Amino acid sequence: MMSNMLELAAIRSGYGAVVALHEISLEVRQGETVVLLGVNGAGKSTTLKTISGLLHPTRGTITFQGERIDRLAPETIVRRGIAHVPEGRRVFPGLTVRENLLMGTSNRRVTRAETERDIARVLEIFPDLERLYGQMGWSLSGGQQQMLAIGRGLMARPVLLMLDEPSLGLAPVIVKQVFRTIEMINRQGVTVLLVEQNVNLGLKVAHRAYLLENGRIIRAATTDALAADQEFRRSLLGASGHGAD
Amino acid sequence: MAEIIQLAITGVALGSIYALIAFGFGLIYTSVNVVNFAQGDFAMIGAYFMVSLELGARLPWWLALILAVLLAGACGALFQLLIYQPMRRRPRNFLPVMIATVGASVFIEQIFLVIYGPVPFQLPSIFKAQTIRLGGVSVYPQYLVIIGATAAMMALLRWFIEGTKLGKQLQATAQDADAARLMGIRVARMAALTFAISTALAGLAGLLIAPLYTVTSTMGTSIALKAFAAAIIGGFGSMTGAILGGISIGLIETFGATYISGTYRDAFPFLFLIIFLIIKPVGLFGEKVSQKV
Repeated sequence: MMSNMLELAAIRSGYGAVVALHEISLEVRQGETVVLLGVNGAGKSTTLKTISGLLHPTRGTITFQGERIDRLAPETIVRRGIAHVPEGRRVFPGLTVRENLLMGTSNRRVTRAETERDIARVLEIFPDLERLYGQMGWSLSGGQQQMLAIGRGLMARPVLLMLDEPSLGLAPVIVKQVFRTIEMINRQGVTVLLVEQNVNLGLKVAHRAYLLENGRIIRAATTDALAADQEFRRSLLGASGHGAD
Repeated sequence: MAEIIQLAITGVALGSIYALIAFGFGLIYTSVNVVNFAQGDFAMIGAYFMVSLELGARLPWWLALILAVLLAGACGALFQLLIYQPMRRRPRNFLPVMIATVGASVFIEQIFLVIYGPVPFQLPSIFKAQTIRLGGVSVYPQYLVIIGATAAMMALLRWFIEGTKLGKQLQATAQDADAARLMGIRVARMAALTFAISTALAGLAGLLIAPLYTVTSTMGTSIALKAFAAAIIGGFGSMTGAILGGISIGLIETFGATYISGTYRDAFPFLFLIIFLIIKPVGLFGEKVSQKV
C-alpha cells in the first residue's frame, strides 16, 4: 500500500465570491501520475492553484507529506517540494532561457555547481533548449515555452510536479514529445499531478484519473478501467473535441 | 565656447540628479505598477541625513554619504511596508496606493519640518575649492562630483540588476509576480528591495544637489517633478531612457534659463515634455514597459 503524498479533503475554493470547487476530495500517492480530466471550467486549474497556494480554500484541508499546507503562501509551498507549471506556461518574457531556468531554483539555497548540474539535467531532457539558451522568453514558440516551463519546474527539484494542460496549443508531434518526457520524469521518481483536456493522452500517461464536472469530482478510477469503459470514452471524447490521436 | 561647455556641464550634472530619481520612478512603476509621488521627499531625506551625519556627527564625507544613502533606502523599505503593502490588497489598488503616496509625501515633509526646523541648512561641497579650471573652462567641482557619483551608481545598479540572481529575481517579479511566487521568489521582499533601491537613488540625488541649493523640507518637490518628466521622456523602467531623459531635461533647463529667461527656468522642461509627448507618447525606450505582462 502506497502512502498518500497529497490529500485534499472537502476543499472548497474559488475566486472571490465565485465558488469554483465544491467539496473536492482527492489523493495522490507517492510515485503516481494522476490526471484530472474534465471540460473547460470544470475546476481543474482551480484545483492546482489551490494546491500551490495561489488560491486559498475557504473550506477543507490540504495535507502534503503529513503536514497541512492549505494556509501557506506559494513561496513556501514550492519550498516543501511542490512545483506548479501553470496554465499558459508563464515563462518570464524578458529573461533568457538560461535565466528562466535559474529562477526555478529560487525555492532553495543552491551553489553554482548544483545549479549548473541541474541545468545540465534539464537540457538532457529537453535538448532543444540548449540552442535557445540565450534567447528571451517572449521569442520562443509555444512548444519551446512549454519545454522551458516544465524544465523550470524541474529546476525546483520537486517531489510533486503539477502540470496544467501541457499539450495546449502544441503541434501533435511536440505533444507526443512532451508526454514521453512526463513519463520519463515520473519514472525518475517524481510524482506527477496532471491537468489535461486531451483525454486519450491523459489516460495513456497516468495511473489514475479523476473526472471533474462543475467543480465536483464525479468519478475516480484507474486509467485502465476508464480506458476500457466505452461509454465514458464516448461521452468525454465527444465533449472535449479531442477525437483523434 | 567656454561658456557653452560650462553650461553643458551644469546641465548634465542637473540632469544626472533627475536621472537618478527618474530611474527610481521607473523601477517602482515597472515592479509594482504604482507611481510613488513621495519619491522627491526621499531626496530631501537623503540631504537631511547628510546634514546630520556630516555636520552633526562630523563623520568623514564619504562615510556620511554612504550611510545617508543606505538610511534613505531603509526609509524607503519602511515606507513600502507602511504605505504600499496595506494599500495594495485593495480592489483597484492603483488609485488608493498612489493617493496614499501623495498623503505620505505631505506627512514626511511636515515631520522633517518639525525635526529640523524651518531654517534651511547649507551643505558644504565635497571639494573646498570654489572652482577648478579644466582647459579654459572654470567648473564648479560639485558638478563633477554629481556626474561621477551618478555614473558610478548607475554602473553598480546595472551590474546588480543584470548580473546577479537577486537582480534577475527582481526582474522576474516585475514581469510576472504570480509565476515568480510559484518559483519560490518572495515577492514581498522584492517589493521592499525595489522601494529601497529607488529611494536610495533619490537620497543620493538629494545629498548631491544639496550643496548647490539649500536643504529644506520641500526641496524635493520641484526636483521630483522634473525627474518625473525625465522618466516620461525616457520611458519608464529603462536605465538608458532615464539617463537620456534626465540629461535632456537638465540641458534644456540650464540653457533655457541662461539664453531665454531665468524667470521661466522651471517652465522649459515641461514645455519640452509637452512637445515631446505630442511627438512620441511612449517615451524613448517605452518598449521595456510593454514587455511586462
